[in-house]
Amino acid sequence: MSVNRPPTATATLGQSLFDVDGALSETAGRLPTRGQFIRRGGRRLAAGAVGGAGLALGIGFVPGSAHARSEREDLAILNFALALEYLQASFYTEAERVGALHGPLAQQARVVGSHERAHVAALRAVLGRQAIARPRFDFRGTTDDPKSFRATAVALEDLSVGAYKEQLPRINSDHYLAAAVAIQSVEGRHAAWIRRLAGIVPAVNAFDEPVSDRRTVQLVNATRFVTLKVPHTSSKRSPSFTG
Amino acid sequence: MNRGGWIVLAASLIVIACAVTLWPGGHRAPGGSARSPAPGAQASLAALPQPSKGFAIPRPRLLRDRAGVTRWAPVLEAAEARERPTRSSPGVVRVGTQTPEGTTNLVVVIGEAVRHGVTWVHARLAVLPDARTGWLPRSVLGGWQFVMTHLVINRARETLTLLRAGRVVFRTRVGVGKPSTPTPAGQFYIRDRLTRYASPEYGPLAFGTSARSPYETDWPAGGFIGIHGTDQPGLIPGQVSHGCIRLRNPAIRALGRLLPIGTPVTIT
Amino acid sequence: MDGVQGTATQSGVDLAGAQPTRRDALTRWLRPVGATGVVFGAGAAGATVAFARGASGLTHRDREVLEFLAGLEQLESSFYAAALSAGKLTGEPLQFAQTVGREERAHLSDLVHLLGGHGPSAGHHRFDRMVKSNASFVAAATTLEDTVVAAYNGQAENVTRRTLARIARIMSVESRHAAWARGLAGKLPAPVAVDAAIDADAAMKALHPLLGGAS
Repeated sequence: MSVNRPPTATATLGQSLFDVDGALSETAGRLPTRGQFIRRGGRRLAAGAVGGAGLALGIGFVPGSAHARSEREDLAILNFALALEYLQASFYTEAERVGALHGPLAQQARVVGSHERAHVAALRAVLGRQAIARPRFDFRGTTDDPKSFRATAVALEDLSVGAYKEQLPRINSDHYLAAAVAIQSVEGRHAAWIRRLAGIVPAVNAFDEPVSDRRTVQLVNATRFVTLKVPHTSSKRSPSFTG
Repeated sequence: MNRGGWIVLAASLIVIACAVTLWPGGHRAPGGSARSPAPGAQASLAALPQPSKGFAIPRPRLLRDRAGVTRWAPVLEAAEARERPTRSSPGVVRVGTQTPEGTTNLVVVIGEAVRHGVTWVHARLAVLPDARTGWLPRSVLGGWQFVMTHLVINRARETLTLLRAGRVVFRTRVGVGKPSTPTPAGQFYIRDRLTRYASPEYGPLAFGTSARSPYETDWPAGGFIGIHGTDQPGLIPGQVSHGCIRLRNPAIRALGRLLPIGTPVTIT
Repeated sequence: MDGVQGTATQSGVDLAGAQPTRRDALTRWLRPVGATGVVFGAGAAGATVAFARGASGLTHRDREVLEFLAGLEQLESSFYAAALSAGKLTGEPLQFAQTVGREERAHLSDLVHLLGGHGPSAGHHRFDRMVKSNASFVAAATTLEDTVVAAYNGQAENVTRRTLARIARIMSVESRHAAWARGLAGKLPAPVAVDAAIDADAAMKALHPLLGGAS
């Protein structure tokens, strides 16, 4: 693992979504420098106090109160949600900027993109220093033509619905739950919207089933949209220009 | 590799995943004593608490500035750039994955075309004659990156101006090419950024561009035009260089904080 | 924090036979953290939890909410049944009524099953005006589905997490229905970044036009 600092419990679940090779990505190791603290009913929990216990361990080495542990779990879940929102927001933003879409599909990308960006902003604000950093994406041509865009959007929205369903009942705090419920409700609308544009039945089943963390990570990895190879655009070589 | 195939795979996996039921059925109490109010049973419903607000979610954010956005992508696979978006078209130049500075090669893309199901991109190329463009298969490039900035260099006025979303954010005087080795005119882009090298004549920081000069004989394919600092600030502004754009060192440092890779460069 | 639950008990409302809702909040804090992050209440905190739930695994509050939601599903099922038997729908609105009606019936069935077999009585509704054309049907469906979405959202915190897991499977499908109906009505399927959450009272008020004549 090539990170400078140990993963915090809250970051781990979100990072695992982008943990493509089993090594944490370069971007995941850099947390934002905003010094935000997470407020809970007037009390301040120092966001950095979490320490190195990963959610996967189940119990932290940091002896915290049950409340602190509960908070850590919730923040880990919010980070997982943030990871998926980054994916969607970046996808729609790129699609809009590439400009290959027209008419109702372009409208969907514009409006849904605006929602996903708002979701990203909200989750980053709540998570503060604990928020995972935005990863780099390579959407591999899926934003370059309407057909690929549509197919990808259907997959991403349905995945988002399933993933939120898995996370919702795990959220300890009603405060966070309320927001997560409101967000996932919109994701259901997004899914129906793009499916209808793709000519597929917007609600194909009476029940949307949860998609496990492992499956979600697998599916995201299968897209290979998360890129660990960032362009290397700096160098210490002496310039050999004309001068 | 068929990228579309990955999406189909992911989508089908999702469909399968959605079919998996994770929760067991609820317990059944024999002869369950459920009360069955119609929705009009107001009394007990009033007892159900108000939902809490949760954390704040801001208003939807539409993208600003659709115009003035430039996109670039790294070159992941060496390929022949062609005159037209078809494999049978004559090649313009081979586009490699690395720049001479050892950085990832990248191209600014100004258009796209789909031919027989294959997406081609119209790319600016770092080859003479200057401001040459050519067509590359989309599949050899990596993920899109976007910049809102634009660098404008006016040779006659010896000025450099950086705009972001159409607004001026930086301006300075520069040294440009001597009459015998002029700075080329045209549309180019910033390719890479060099720092901490030991060549004081380039100052503390240099940017590589896609612009090339036919006037230097050291490079058979043409020399590379850079934007960099100097150890002779007294010469700036002026027609002093072999084609490069020279800034005084405080100015290049300031520019270094503002100029992203991939920024389009217009030299007039 | 636990503000919502706390408020409920402070409001003085006493649900007959209900355990204090504060207990639900306590059991959540005491729940051991497993790899999956969720452990059902039973057994985790021992006796405290056993008292909070009936043999069905539902708290009294759960039942209240599920009965309310079942009532909504009943309303939806009746509406779509009426629309289909009126026979005035064509094209995609017809397909919508068929598909969504089937799904609402499945939701109702699921909730009734969860409640132990006794569902809400079918109210008497007069949907005639609303099902006489594609346009009026779609307009009514939009109001109905949007309200049901917000009503479900408003109840999420009122049930135990276990029950939430059950009804969450329905909630996003209601969102899909709402988006579909809005699309049919020429409206933005998702007009805002966050969906509303309304309490039961507000839901009933919003549905009043559709209920007119309900028992």
